[in-house]
Amino acid sequence: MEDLIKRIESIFKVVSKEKGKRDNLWILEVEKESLHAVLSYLKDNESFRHLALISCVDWIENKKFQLSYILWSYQKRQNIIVKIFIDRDKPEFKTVLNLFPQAEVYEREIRELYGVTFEGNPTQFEEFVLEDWEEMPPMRRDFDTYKYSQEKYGDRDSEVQRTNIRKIISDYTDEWRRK
Amino acid sequence: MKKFSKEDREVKLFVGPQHPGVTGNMSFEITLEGDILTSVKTHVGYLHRAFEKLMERRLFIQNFPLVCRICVPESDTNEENYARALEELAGIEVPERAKWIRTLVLELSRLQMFMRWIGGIAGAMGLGTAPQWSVGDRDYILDLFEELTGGRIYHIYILPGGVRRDLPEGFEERVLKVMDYLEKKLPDYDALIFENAVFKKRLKGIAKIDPSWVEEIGVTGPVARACGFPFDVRKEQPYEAYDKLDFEIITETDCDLYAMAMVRRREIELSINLIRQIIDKMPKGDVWTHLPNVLYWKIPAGETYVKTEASRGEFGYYVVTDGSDKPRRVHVRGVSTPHAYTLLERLVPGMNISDFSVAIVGLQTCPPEIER
Amino acid sequence: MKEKDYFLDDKPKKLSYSEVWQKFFDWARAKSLWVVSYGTGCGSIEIPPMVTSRFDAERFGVSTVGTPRQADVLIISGYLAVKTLKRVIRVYEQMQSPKYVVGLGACTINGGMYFDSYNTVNLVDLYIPIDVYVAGCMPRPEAILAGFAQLMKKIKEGRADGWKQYIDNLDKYRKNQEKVIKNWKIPNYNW
Repeated sequence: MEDLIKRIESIFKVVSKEKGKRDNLWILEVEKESLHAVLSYLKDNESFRHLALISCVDWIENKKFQLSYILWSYQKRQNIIVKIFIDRDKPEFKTVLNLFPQAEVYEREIRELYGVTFEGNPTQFEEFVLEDWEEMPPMRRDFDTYKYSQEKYGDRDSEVQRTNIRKIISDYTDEWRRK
Repeated sequence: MKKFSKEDREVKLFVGPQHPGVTGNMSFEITLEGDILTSVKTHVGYLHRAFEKLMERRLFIQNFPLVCRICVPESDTNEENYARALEELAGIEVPERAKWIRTLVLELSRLQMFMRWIGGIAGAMGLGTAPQWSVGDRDYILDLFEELTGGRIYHIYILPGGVRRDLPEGFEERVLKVMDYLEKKLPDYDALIFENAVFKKRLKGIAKIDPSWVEEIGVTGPVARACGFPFDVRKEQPYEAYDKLDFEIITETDCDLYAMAMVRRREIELSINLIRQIIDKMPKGDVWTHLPNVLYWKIPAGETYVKTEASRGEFGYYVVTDGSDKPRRVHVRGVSTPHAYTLLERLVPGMNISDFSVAIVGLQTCPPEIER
Repeated sequence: MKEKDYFLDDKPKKLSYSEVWQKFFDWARAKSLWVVSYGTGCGSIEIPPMVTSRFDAERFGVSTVGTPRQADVLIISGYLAVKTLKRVIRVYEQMQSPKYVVGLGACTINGGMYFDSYNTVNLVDLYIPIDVYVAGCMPRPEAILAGFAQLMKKIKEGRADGWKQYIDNLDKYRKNQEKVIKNWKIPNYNW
């Protein structure tokens, strides 16, 4: 699969490349302006016609969102992950709906859970899984879900406490070793 | 005669979550003109538990009870996928006997899912005898699981590094006895359901898929194989012990619901055949490799995408780690996301309302994996 | 048609009979409990084995029906997301009294393993009255049948009055429900 990566590098500008832990997986990082050209080159010329997933990762330390596009080729039996980084304070990007029709649902989910808007997607502002949600997008790293659940839904008064599992097990083994 | 405009002729109905003809807890909003449907909108979200957010707060080993419950009838496929992703990122080797035992568990789980589907599709058409037979026969397989792992539905048997314990004594004979029993009952199922004249008339010609949509939308599984495409993850990217087993991919040529039903019926025979081969060829050895202390286990940074063949299609996991002891991001690719949204919107115009519920069960859409 | 014609503002009534008739009605109700076919969560995977040929539930008089207007029992099988809670309240208010609720699993008791999720409810008891809890994750079909046997015993003794408590303390239940559900456009169907 290395000659495929060399062909891509000769045409487009690749920021970084990395081989996955098995033989038929490579991970490429490209600039965000050339993503549509890379995807359409892979789809038309190199037979990567199956889009498996569009996903988003929150890197809050570097203030960036990572969007990953996972493609699969039935003829060559190879996987490739193409990823880009967008700004966390102004998260917006363009849709890939004209290349892959099922991207409509994946982008709707990312819009609801992370807050990234995709220009050109007609149904992205409809509700997907949450109803009447008014807080910040819940999958971001600075949303505290335990505190939200305690305040809104309450808890039963009981003697069971939810403590650190490592402390319980290490206390037990220390006591067992002392005997 | 007075002519009615389009807005006056159309009626909007809600096929809601509380309905005996919907597989699981999801709802549809359909518009009708007389008896013929014109459009559909899918609504999910009734089962959203925020798995991916919960998985970022727990250690790697604490995520296994959560991963089981993403797709409830097929909990082994999820465990095996997640365990294989962690093994790939951490560089752990699995011993040979453990791979064969994992394959046996996966094939048994696929068989019991098919028995449940037979009950579903016959019940959606009004044949009440078939669920009584097939759900009753499925209990023999659940008894085997209870002997091996301790639970009927949620097993937590496949862990990174192998499986939890070895097969008990005399287990192989009991498995072969159940396989003989099921193979003897298959002609009865044929006479009742698959060769029935009413079954054929209600399924032939309904929900015909254009073959050019399969690669465009991303359809996988028995739905794609019913259109003639030989797509099967067990042959394209063999995992566990599948590269040492000997089988053919099953395809049909018409693209309607009857072809999908016949693909699943022939895959029941294929699963029984594979289980017999596995028990014949299984080697001896260890079932577990040594792991570091799992409460303090750190995995180096990286990302990967692994997939398996569930009974519905391609099930994938995308895992990103960053060097600490909790995962950064775990994203589950459910099988039914392209089926229930993009494919259904293209199939529905022109369908009769009495075929709608049969089409949903025939495509085997399962809502908890769309919304996790 | 005005919109007000669909809404009824009266509260439901609690009919009461003389003691002999009350005992007879309780005995008859316990012998045929019909369940609404609504799979709200994980636990609905053990309902088909319960009503088919191995663990036959029809010998106790338990069977499933399609609409809530003909049913007596609502089974809440597992956790409840907020979107499902709104529909469950609607289904519960559409059933005719006397009606009973059975809660399966550990998630109805105190949240279970989703205790820190932003979308699931921790205590179902604040929103709907529950008569019998069945423990387990998931409870086996034999355990659910044992739960039904306990419910039948409670009905025959005259202690299963969750529906009466709902009518008496309706304001408290509504206050709890409105804290969680924002878009509250549910009419009061006739009871």
